Amino acid sequence: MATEAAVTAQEALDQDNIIVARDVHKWFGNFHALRGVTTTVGRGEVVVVIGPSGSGKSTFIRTVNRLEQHQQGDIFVDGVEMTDDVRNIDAIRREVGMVFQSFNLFPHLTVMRNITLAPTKVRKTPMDEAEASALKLLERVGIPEQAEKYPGELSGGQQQRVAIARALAMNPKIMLFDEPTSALDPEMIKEVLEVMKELAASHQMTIVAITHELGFAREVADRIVMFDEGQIVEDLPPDEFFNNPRHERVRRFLSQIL
Amino acid sequence: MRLSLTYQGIPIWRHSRILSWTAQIVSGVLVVAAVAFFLSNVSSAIVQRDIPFGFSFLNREYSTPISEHLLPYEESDTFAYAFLVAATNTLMVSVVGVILATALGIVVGAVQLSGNWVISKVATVYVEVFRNVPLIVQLFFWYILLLGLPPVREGIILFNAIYLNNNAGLSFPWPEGQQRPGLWLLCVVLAIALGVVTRVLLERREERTGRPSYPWLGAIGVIIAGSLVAWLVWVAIGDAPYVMSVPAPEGRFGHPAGGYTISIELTALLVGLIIYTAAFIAEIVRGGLQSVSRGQSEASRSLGLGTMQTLRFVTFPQALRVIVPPLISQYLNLTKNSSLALAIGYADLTSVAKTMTQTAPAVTIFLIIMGIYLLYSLAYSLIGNLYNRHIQFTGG
Repeated sequence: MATEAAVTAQEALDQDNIIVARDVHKWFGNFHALRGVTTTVGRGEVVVVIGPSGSGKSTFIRTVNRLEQHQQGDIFVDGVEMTDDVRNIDAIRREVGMVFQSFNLFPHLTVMRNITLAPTKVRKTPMDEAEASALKLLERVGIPEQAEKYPGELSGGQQQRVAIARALAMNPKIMLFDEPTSALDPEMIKEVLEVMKELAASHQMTIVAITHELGFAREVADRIVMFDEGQIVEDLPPDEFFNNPRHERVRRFLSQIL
Repeated sequence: MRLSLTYQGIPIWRHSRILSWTAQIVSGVLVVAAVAFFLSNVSSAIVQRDIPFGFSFLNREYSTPISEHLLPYEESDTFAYAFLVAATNTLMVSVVGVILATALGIVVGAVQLSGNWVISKVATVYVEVFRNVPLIVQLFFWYILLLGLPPVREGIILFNAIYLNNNAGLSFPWPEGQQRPGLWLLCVVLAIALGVVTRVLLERREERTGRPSYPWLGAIGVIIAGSLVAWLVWVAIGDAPYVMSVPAPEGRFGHPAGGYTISIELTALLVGLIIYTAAFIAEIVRGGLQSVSRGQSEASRSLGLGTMQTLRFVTFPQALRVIVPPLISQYLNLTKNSSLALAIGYADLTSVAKTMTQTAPAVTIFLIIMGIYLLYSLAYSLIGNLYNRHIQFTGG
């Protein structure tokens, strides 16, 4: 883990770091959304990202699977540099699962088909194999009985759990969560967090999650990273983050959301 | 004594169900009365003023030429058959127009959303120009443009096979039936059906086993192989089912003979209808694709599906539900707009009907063609609704 701007390309290839970002900049027109983000995420690490809205946290994790393109700096994911090379982008997207705030399930496909679409079409997994592992994933997220339903027939919490299963079906090395519980009713937040906690505890994959569920952060995060105005302003283990933050900005933010 | 007009303890003038029933009954009575009044008025006018009305003319000889016809036609044919000939012309314009306008519209609509700035702007200009000029003006424009072509000897000739000029019209190569062409076409239809089945089976196999099975390649192979085998059988028995007839100049005036020739009136009508309708279809397709939220393609891309896979499995199936209903209404518009053929002199249903009124009762004639247009529109709606139900059925 290194927050200083001294990450080298060699380090990027280092087996210990699965995500390496070096002085990443991103503009939306005149708006400077990312102003030099430098950080690394180790293999198997669980990183929670927080920050006020508009701080660039969502933009940053979207650059990791190139849903957004950065305009300056370097990003290495699993040793592959994110450039305009189409083949690299497709390769990385297969390794990086993403869960969105608004679920984004495919409404015209059943839950089962939502989960098996990518494995069968991208990885060419045989259908019966894909269905068997989809069923296992649905069991893991606690809703095996919903397999043949359509997303519109499920509650928000159930939909988000399907979305997690769908991302897991590609066996990703990294899971990105972009405010997965922000669009949910309070009673459904818990069921989604339980699934995320179980994933974090299994240590099978690297997790980068934007969430303001501080209980979750305290319980499972290895680090909490705070974004403000396009930069990382704090990067500490949970204990220190909550009890002894170095920046006044963190204290103010915590007092606003607690 | 106090009058108690209540139902279920509610005064009837405040009971919502009784109010709604009363409104329905009153409006029903009014509609029936209005229709009855109109009909009795019309029938008494017909009798009083001796306006010709009736269907007896249908068996009379029409004795008027029809300039262009898909079905064989002689002046000695009856009015009834002339209706059929004209209705077939309109049907042909409608079907050809619908197919080509859909193809052009989908391309233009998709291109408008492409990242290619030049092409997307060209597409936008096309849509805005042709959507915003009256169709009849466009038809005259194309017609005048074609009339301005040089005569047959100096006309446009492409590849020595396609002729375009102001008197013979547009001539192009066309297969000419030789030995049982219908039966061979049936074989081709069977091959296509077999090809569709092959595609489905191979696709299932690919999904089941994960091994690439090339469903499209297989399907096209089956169709080509089937048609070819049938063709060879025909040749072995005697003659090929079709020969390609290529137009070539002939006679004193060098008019192209052979192939298939359509008049400049029909060419102008088809070009005008297709270009006009495709502009609307392009907007429908663009709107449909844009109606699918960005999150859908982002989710698909983040799962590793490629651009084309995303379009095929995620975006387009969802867009289709938005596209199909207004698309059908464009098909109806094209069919109804084909009646503007009257203005540039193509023998469609309306223009033949107009000519018929010189020798037969006009009211009956127009009732008949209204019925035919209605029939066409209902047929399109029926097909469209069935397809729509098929694609809407899945999904919550």
